[in-house]
Amino acid sequence: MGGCAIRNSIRDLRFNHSEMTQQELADRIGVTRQTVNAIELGKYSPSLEVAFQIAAVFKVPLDQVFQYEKAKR
Amino acid sequence: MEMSFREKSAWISFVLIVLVFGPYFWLVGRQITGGAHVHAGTQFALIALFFVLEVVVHVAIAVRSPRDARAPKDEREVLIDLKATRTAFYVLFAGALLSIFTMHFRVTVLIMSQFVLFSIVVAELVKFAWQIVLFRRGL
Repeated sequence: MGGCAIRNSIRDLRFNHSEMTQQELADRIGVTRQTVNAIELGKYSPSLEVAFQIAAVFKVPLDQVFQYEKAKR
Repeated sequence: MEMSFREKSAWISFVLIVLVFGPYFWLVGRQITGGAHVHAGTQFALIALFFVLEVVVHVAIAVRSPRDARAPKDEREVLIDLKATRTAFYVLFAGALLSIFTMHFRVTVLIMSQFVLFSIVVAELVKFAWQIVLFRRGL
């Protein structure tokens, strides 16, 4: 698991979707607002199911929401 | 950041354990060293008091945010619960072994039961503390 990082563009996607709130997104994917916040801040990597649900809400491919980057040594 | 219902719940349980069982085990410590006497019924009374306080305070916060309280745990909350419970298990395991060892010191059944209760309380304390850490720090 070490040596890599998963980044995401959820904050930008929310902003571009009528400034959707974290609570609105949380309600649509069935998690708490605090979990959406943790995902946005990179404190929690969601399951594949939740990741696909987020992508479906914004109607974009998964890799537009989450980006996998290997850490530079 | 505003806390979720589960994080509030972990804080409540952590604080109640410290407030209810802290003074109790201080008394038990004095009993073991011969400085005070703890009645056997006190143990059960305190456990009952702890559960009553848990219910009352949890109902109070659930009334303030009924929607959060009704919502099932999401995947992050389940994972935090599992990780904290696993850590607490090791503490309880060590406590149970140490309680068995008290047999070699010719302690009474009541004193041995205090060691078992102490192990359970410390394990629960570790569980809630670890939950709070994971909620704050992230997984």
